[in-house]
Formats: sequence, C-alpha cells, structure tokens
Amino acid sequence: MIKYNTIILIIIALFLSSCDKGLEPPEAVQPATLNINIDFINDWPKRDSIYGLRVVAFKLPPSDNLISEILSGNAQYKDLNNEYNVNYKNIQFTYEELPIELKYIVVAWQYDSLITEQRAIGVYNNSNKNEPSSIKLINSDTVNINIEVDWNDFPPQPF
Amino acid sequence: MISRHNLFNTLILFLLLTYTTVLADVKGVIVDNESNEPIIGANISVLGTLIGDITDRKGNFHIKSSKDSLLIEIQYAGYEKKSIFVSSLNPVKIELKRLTYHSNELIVSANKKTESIQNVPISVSLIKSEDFSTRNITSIDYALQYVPGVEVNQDNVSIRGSSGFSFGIGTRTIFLQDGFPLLSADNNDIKFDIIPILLIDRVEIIKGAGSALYGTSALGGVINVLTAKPSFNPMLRARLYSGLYDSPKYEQWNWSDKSLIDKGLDLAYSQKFGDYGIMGSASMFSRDSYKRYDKLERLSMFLKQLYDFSEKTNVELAINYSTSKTDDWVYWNSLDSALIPPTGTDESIAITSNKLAVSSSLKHILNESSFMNIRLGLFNTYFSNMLAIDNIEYRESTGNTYFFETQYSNSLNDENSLITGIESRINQVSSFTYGDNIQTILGAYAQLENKSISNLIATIGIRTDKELLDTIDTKFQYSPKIGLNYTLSEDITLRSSYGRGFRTASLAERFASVQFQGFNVIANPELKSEISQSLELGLSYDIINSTDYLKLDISSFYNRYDDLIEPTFENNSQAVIKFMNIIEAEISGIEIDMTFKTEENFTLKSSLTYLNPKNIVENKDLKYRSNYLWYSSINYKLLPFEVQLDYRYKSKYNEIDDRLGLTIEGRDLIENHEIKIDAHILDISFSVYSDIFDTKTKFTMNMKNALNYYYLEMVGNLAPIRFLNFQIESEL
Repeated sequence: MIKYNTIILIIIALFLSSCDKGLEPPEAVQPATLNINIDFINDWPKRDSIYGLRVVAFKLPPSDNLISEILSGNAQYKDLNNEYNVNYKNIQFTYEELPIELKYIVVAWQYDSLITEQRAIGVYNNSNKNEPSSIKLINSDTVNINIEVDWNDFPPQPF
Repeated sequence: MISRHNLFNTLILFLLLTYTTVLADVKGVIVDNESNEPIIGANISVLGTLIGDITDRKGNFHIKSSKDSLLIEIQYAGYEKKSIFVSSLNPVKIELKRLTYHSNELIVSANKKTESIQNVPISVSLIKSEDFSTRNITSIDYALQYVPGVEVNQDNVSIRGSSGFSFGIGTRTIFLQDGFPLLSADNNDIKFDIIPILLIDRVEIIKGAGSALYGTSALGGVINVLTAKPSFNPMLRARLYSGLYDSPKYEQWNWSDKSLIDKGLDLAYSQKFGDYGIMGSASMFSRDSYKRYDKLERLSMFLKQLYDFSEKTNVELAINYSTSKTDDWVYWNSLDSALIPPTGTDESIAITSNKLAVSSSLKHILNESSFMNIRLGLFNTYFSNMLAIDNIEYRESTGNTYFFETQYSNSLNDENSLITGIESRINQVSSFTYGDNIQTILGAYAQLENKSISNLIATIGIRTDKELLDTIDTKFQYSPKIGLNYTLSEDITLRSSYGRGFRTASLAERFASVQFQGFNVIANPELKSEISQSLELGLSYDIINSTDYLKLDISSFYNRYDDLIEPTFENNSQAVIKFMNIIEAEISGIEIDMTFKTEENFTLKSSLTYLNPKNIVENKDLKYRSNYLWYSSINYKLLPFEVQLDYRYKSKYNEIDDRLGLTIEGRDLIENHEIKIDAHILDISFSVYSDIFDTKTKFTMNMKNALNYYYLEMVGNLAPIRFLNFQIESEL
C-alpha cells in the first residue's frame, strides 16, 4: 500500500516552504530628522550687527548666492533665535523625500539689513573646518550633528 | 386563425397520444450490493432510445416507455456497468457491484459523441459538479483555475499557454454550453456569468487545437459545459453564501473601514413529468470586492425545457439570461495604493451588461446505426458604460450571434463510425464602439473512427470553414485532425494526436475605436485569422491494488502558432493600441497529472505543467505566460465531515509589455507595471453534511488564499486577498 501519510506530509511541507509574504508596498515614508547643535565660541560681534542667524543645508555644494540656492530648491534654511551671547543653540530639519544627501551645512550670519549680506560662520565638518562634510539621511533616521562657530575664525566663504 | 375549439381538440389529442404511448412505467431503486445503501446520481439509459433517468438522493429512478419491457443500462463511476431487462410489473431493485478499485470510467463528449475518457486521443480534463460546491465556486472561470495546464488571467482563459492578456477580447478557447458556442458577437469573449452553476453536470476541458470539430476559436482548446438532465424525482436545490475579505496586511492598501462582503444566493429546480422535463435556476450575486471601484451586482436566470416526442426523438429549449452592473476597474493606482484605481478615475462610471442566449436542439435516432442532432441558437449581448454619447470614453455595443448546426452520426459497422456536420455562425454587431458589421462563418466537417486493429482506435477528420466579411478577402480554412489511441495493457493507454486550429479575428479587434483609462484603441480591418497546430503524445497509467488507486497521465505537447493577434502599441510616445498579426510562436511542454485515491475516501491530485512559450519572431518568451503551473489538492472525507486543501503555484511571467509603463502627461500609464512575482495560492475548505429537515444539507467554511499571499493576477492588478466564506447548500 502506498504510504499516503508520507505524501501528505511532503505536500504540506512543500506548501509551507514555498510560501512567503508576496508583494508588499514600498515602505511607508517615515520622515528623517537632522538635529543640529551649534556651539558659539569667542566673543560675539556687536549686538546691532546680528540681523539674523540661520542654518542652511545644501543638497549640492553651493555655486551661487544663498538666495538663489534656496529659491532653486538646492538649499533649505531655518532661522536661529537671535538671542545675543547665547553660546548654545539647537535646531531640527525634517526631510520626507528620502534618502537624501546633504553636502554642505552651514551657519550663516546676516550682518546687515540687506538679506543678501550673509557670511558663513560655521560649517559641518568631521575634522577640518576647511573641508565641509556631507551627511546622508534615510527613512526614519534621526541624526545629530554639531557645528562649531568661532566668531574669530570663519570657514572659507562659499561664494 | 385557429379557433378555441380546434385548439382544445388538438390538446386533447396530444394528451391522448402522449398517454397512450406509455405502456411501461418502470420504477426502481439502485443500491450498493454490499451495504444496500442507495446510489445517488447513477445514470440509467434505455438502450436504443434517448430516454433515461438519474437516481435521486434515495437511489430511486423512474422511466416511462411505449414498450412493456425495456433493456436498461446503469452506469456510475466506481461501480460495474450493468444491463438488465425491466418491466413495469413491480418496482425493481438493482444492485451494483463496487469495483475493486476506484474506476476512472469517466464519460466525455470531446469528439461530439459520448465515450470513455480513456478512448479519447487528446488530453481532456473534467470538473465535476461536486467541485463547485466544496470550493464555493460562483463562476466557471474560478473553477477553471484548478484545471491542469489552465490559467485564467481575468477573463482570458489560457490552455497550455495559448493566450496572454488582451482584456478578454478574442478568446483562443471556444466556450460551449451543451455544444452551443457562448462567445459574444463583438468581442468574441467568454461570458462566464451566464452559466447556471447549480445545474452543471460536468465541464470538459479539451486541450490543444480543436477546430477540426469545433471551428473558429478552438485555437488552444475547448471548454464544454454540460448541464444536468431532469429526473422524474423532483430536485430542488438552494445555496446561500456570504464571505468577507481580510484587511490588507499593509496600511497603505487599507482603503475601507467597512467589512467588504461578497454574497450570493442560487436556487435550482428540475423535474420530469411524463415526456416533459423542466429545469430552472436563478442566481443573485453581489460583490463589494477587495478593490475600490470593483463592485458587481448580478442576476442570472436559466430555464431549460425538454420534450420526448418519442423514444427516438426529443427536443430541448434552453434560455440563459444574465444582467449585471459592474464598476470599470482596469488597473491599480500604484503598488503603494494597489487596491484603488488611478488618481482621477471617474468612479461614478459603471458598466451595464445584459446577455441572453436561446438555444434549441432536436435529437433523432434515425435507425439502429444513425443519429441526427440539429442545433439552433441565438446569443445576444449588450454593454454600455452609460456615459453621454458625446463623451470621449463612451462605450456601447450590441451583438447577436446566430448559430446553426446539423450533425449526423452513423455507426457504419462494428469497426467504423462516422460523424459529419455543417455549421454556420453569423455575428451581427451594432455598436458605437465597433461600428455596424456582420461576420459570417460557414463550416463543414467529417470524422471517421476506426477500430479494425485490435486495441487501437484511430480517428481522422477534417473541417473546412469560410469567413465572409466585407473588409477582407478571407481564405478557406482547412483543419485536419488525426488521433491514435492504443491500449497497450489493462493498465497502460498510449495516445497521440495532431490537430489544427484557427480563430477568425473578432469584430472588436478589427473595428474597435475606443478610448478608456489612458488607452486609445484604433481599428485594423485587415486582420487575418490566427492559426495553430498541436501535436501531443500521451500515456495514461493506472496502478491498482485492492485498496488504492493511482492514475498517472503524462503528456508532451508541441503547439505552433502563426499570425497571432496581439494588442500592439503603435508608437513609443502614446498609448495607441492596434490589434495586429505579429507573433509567430512555439509552445512546447510536458504535463504530468496524478490522481491517488484510497478506500478511506482520501484523494490526492497533483499536476505539473512545464511550458516553454517562445516568440520566434523576437526570440524571447511570449508575454504573460508562466513556465510552471503546479496545482495540487487533498480531499479527505470522514462522513459527515470533509476537508479539502487546494494549492496552486504559477511561476512569474518572464515577459510583459514594457510599454505599459509609458509616461503620459507626467505619469506612467500603469505605475509599477514592471513587477513580476510567483503565485502561491492555498485554499482550504471544511464541510459538514447533515440530513436536517429531510434534506441533504452541506455546511461549508471556505478560505480562499488562506496564506494571504499577495501576488498579481495581471499587470497592475493585485490578486484577491484572503477571503473567508460560509455556505449552506441544501437539496430537497
């Protein structure tokens, strides 16, 4: 007699081994957060010259003036509070179009009433402040970075 | 004008004639010779006549005849065939002897005559009526998905890779009900919903080119639905079912907070009164669907009347009707939102569709050796998307197919038999979408069967057809067939066959001018007929011992296709589709089909089909074909319980049409069209039989796609997700 119990077991094993979950939708987008801690060192310039402090994150290294880069979508910025002589500030950027690589993250100082009057005062870098570092964000990532602003020693200006 | 008096006299005369012709009124019961249990569904036929009966659930039968003594033959699968003289003197009790093994003595009509499946030289698969109940089959197309070598891609039936995907238009498998073709005149597509599920006796699936007997559309095979016959014992059957879809595993696909339910009710009745028999059924079906914009409401009705003018002449008249309203789902928005239609789809549009088939047949035994069958039928179809006529996406079509066939069969002598026939099919279309056109196809066929060599059945046949159409000068089609069936031993049967098939282009493929959901279909009146040639070698091997039965059927096949019609993109920048004769293809393969049964009511079936579908013009695989189909089922009955597992595996398509991803107005025509995936589908059924209220009642819980495995049934179409169904079926 044919051992049909064995056949059943083989078939059931094949059922189970041959199955997985099948198709699945692309993973739902979970925004990534870039948390930037900024330390200011040395003496601040005069209070009336602080028209604005901003952090600007560039997808590609900047090649034009800051306003153009923001308008073209290459850069995203956020204002820091202007509290004078406060040497630690923090700000978050949130990204939904992921993954994204940010190749130049800078703290900018608007030193005049004209918005075009900006100066790079701190750049995200791993070791050498003259060599900006890039950072890559993926789904649901939270990345903390530090930028040091030395009021006496600004990094190379991009424009 | 006939007066009321004359009408009354005629009626009286008719009743007297009917009454006086009945001399024998034979009643009896068929039982198992060991258990004395009644045998339900045994077929009793009076030899040399067209009359007979089928035993009811108590094993009873009832035959009326003009003779006082009848030679009847009783047949039932698993029992010895028995012939016996009976008369009306006393109710007769007939005992049938169970065979020592589970016989596979199945009867088919693949050659336009009933014969044992072992004697047919081509591969034939059967779906039996009980399969519809256990699997909660609500439409024939779902039942076909379990048949070895058959794939159903939405409305396209593909037998051994014969069809890819063409929105259901231009089927390469002819679909028949009791021998009548039920293909629409315009699209030449199959209308599955018109078939009365509860009154089906069996469905035969003939694999390979079959135009030598069936003419156009039998390019890849034949599906013939055979309805049951009424008995003197009334049959009243009802089926009520309702089920709900599981929630999708992924939140992105979850589009509804409500329970999504499919439900339906089927009722059927049949009975024979003297020489008159009647069968009727009604079905209602409502589908919420697991997809948004895929609802369906359907009502189907069926009525069949039979009248025996004499023991040698009978007539049948069948009417099928179905009306439905369905959403116009075509493809998904994207894989990320796979269960909703593309953004911007007007979801208020619904397709209204009506179908009416009227078919009649006259069967007459001319003498001891010859038999004639005349068939006449009409199939009317209508659909519209109910938009304003000036809307660019307005679609509407009315089609009528008029069918006529005369078949003559003659047993020339003990060794030879002949079947000949003539046939005409007229497709008349009056359509906003396809224009006003008439297509006529005339055919004549002859087939000779010879048994002069011991253990060998040789069949040779030829058919010629001519299509008449204004726009194209068509050639005669000559479709020969040769078949050999050799019984090597009691256990082994060998078969080989060659056949040719053809399909005339449908009026829709030739004259379509329509826009829908991003596609723009244009006409091509010059389309030629598709041609196929099938070659098959097969072996059937029965291994039998006292308790178990194993049947193994192995087929190797080669099919050649020329001038295949495929929907083809006209250029690379727009979704303009034109049907064109562009493909030459070869499909070779092997099919292994195994059935194992035991005395303990355990059945295991498994089939593996390997296909090598090659487009020899482009030297790559044909589009939308799987290489492997593996279907298996386990059934175990421990009365009153029954459990069944069905597993299907289909390998992913190697080729699809890349241009379905055309970027039009900033988005892909079908987002994520490139996805390919294997299919694993497990269905589980659990049934309990009961005799409550003196009825035979079956409660079934059925889970389709139990593994909740997500796969594609076609590009941009996620297949049904897990569905849990409850069904009550009762027979009085």
